[in-house]
Amino acid sequence: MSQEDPAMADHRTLANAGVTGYSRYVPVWRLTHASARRAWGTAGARGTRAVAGHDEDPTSMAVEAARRCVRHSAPPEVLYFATATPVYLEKSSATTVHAALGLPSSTAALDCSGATRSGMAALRAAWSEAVAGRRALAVAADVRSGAPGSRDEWAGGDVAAAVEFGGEEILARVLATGSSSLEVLDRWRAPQARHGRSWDERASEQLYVDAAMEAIDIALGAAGLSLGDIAWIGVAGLHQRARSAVTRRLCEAGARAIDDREHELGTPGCAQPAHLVGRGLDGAEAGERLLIVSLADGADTMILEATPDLDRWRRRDRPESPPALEVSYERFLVWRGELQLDAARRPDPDAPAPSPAARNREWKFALTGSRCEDCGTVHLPPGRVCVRCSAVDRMTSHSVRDREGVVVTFQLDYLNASQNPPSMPVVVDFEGGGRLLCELTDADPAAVRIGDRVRMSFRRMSVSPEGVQNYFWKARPVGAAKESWEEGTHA
Amino acid sequence: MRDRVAIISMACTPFGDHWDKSAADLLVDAATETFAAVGLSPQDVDAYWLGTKGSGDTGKLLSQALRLADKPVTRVENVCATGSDAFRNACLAVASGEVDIAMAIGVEKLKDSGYSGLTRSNPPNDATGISMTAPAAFGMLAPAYAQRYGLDLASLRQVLTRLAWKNYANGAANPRAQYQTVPSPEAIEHSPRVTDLLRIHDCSGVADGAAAAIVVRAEDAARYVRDPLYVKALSFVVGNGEGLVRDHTEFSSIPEVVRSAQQAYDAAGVGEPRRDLALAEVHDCFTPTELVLMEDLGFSRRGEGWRDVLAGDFDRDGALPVNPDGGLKSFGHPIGASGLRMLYECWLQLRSQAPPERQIDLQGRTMGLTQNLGGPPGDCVSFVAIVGTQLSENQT
Repeated sequence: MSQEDPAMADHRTLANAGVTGYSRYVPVWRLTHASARRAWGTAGARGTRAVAGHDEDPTSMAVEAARRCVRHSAPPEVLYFATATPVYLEKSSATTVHAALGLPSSTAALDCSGATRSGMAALRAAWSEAVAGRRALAVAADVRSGAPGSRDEWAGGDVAAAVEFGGEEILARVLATGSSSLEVLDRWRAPQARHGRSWDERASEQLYVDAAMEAIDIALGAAGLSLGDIAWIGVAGLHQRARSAVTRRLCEAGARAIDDREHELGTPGCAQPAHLVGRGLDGAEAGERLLIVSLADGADTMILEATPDLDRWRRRDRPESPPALEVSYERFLVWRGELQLDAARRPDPDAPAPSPAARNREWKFALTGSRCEDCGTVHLPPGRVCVRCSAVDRMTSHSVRDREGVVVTFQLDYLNASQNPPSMPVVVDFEGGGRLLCELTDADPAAVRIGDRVRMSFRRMSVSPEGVQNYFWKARPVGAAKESWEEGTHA
Repeated sequence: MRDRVAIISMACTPFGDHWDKSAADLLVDAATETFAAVGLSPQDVDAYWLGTKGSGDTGKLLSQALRLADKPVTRVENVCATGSDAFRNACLAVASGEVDIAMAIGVEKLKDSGYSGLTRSNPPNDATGISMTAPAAFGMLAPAYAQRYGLDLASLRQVLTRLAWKNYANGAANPRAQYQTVPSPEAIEHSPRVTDLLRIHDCSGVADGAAAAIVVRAEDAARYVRDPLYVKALSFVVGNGEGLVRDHTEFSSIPEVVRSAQQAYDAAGVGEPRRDLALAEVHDCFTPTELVLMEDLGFSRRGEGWRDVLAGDFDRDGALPVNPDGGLKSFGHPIGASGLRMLYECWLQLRSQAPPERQIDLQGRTMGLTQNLGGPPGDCVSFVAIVGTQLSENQT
């Protein structure tokens, strides 16, 4: 099964491709394991898990992760979006991410969907694109669920992570990859099923350990390294026993395990490999090597080596994020569709009609309005006639996606239908001009005040009875923890 | 427009839960009473304007309800100012000379929907607008007002409670109003929460109802009634959306109201509204709206409206009675009818035809104002009418 020769060839000729950016996004919401334990009397683990808000899904979370590393001066030419929990089949979600990022139409937006292994597939594919000379972004996100009271329910974590690969200003070189494919039925989910099923982990533990060691050996061999040359290891996967065994074995050889905050965030599924890359690079010194292992229907590995440029990336300016909030177990169940709220005696929210949504995609997805060339007035949404000076068709594009805003006024709306009442309509004035009536999210209702600073976040507004995901932007408070922006929340 | 058109008859059904009546039934009730009061038949009216937000799509709702023979009926819709705009168009037709006798009639049948509050249905769109209720949309005025004038939230609450209490008290004296009881200030403040600031008692009710007016040229009015009501001004500002587009636009005021009021005062020759008007019927859809309207209509100085409310200046026996009939608070808001219901109170009060127990002391004042708002702050239309019992001295 040796693949050493082709891999070596890759390494020799293509070592100048590597990680050129990375970022992560963690929803603000935390579910304590204690709250699930209170409900069911089960003996779950201690800690918390990250929970996608009622207005988040893998696609919206992927946007939030990716926008934290995309540079519009040098946008990716290829985008891979990986998720094991896609909101659509047949229709792409990568194109939604692409549209929300405001990427050029020439950027290929491609999906790696369905299998948990897709998370590592996206990293490998993006790296391969970089090797071929194209800037490529891999972003992965899952919303992890389980039947109420199950281990999956509290062990999962909703996280998104992005890694960009390219050939310039490399933060970490990719030295080698290695794989071992294994047809095994340890975990599966039928397309129409809400929750995955798994088999006794002990039946497949050794198969996974063997696959991991094979994939690691291939990568090490291709890079001309031994285990002792590895400073950091990160093992991803939903197979807990195999992860523990592989991690233990690698740590015995002297490597340190990357801390991916699993006790706080949970196990992120598809996003875990990219999340480990980011967490690992956050702690790595120049010259240190990282070994990322993903266990899912076999094993995939990637070896990276940090460069001196890494420090520059870590010190870059990053906006602030709101503090973490605890979600009650009851609301968590509603958000996951396990409980149905009483239907409000209000009409269903509007679903996007296909042609208006396509016509207005710059606005709907990239939050791009217009700015009057004559008087500078910003219009959100874009318009053809200036509200101030009446100039007609004198508009240029103006996006407030990445601009800070201030709350002008607000209400907490207890009557509106919401899965997270009260809904919080706010009027926001943006730096650089423009005003928008929008929803506030990720905020403690009791803490909202006029003058609060906010930034915009891509959200799922609603889902129509036909299954149409309605995406648009909401405001979220700007918190105090500057250093943890890329995490999305305070640590 | 001043003094060119006169109202010669009006009627208004009781507003409330008309479970046993359709929109057509309510139209028949309002129209029949309006005709009877002045001795006209449906065939005497040359043209009709029907205001309804959603109880019918075309003029056929009226022509078929009344079985009109070969008459034009125009259906008018302009959000919550629908009834006022129907009235305005009827007046314009008469003023043009093309129509001798016109009827404006408005109706809304809201209780059949089963929804809480008012709702709207939008044409196919990109679904980037947010879902919010009307109390939240109008409630946004309150924190902006409090912030602007340094009012703490407890004092603001007191002002809102006073406004609700006043309108409940006025409505309880008016058998046409939906609500006939006056909750205590404590009951108002402890009623179910709708937004962080607003309680259910801060909101206008949801009601069914209809109201109608017949208008003729001013010089013809004497043929029908001794004491017509002359139309002094009709102004209608359909907002361009500026308040939700331009940053730094003040949110403690509704600019469309300010401009429509100024246009109307100029047209009617109202110098000081608080001195010159005998009463005002304003769009108190939610208590913060009425507070802001007191300043936007020039009844109070900027930042002083809340003090004037607490001082009772706008009570039925105050300096300028506002919503002496009970307002939207006590009547509810059958959208197509509300603007005409406001005019109906002017019709009664200015001609001293209100029941003695609630007839206001006109103190020689002859003019009244109606202000009808449609859509929330920043996304609204504002109508202002001034009507009066006397022709101006300098009329040509």
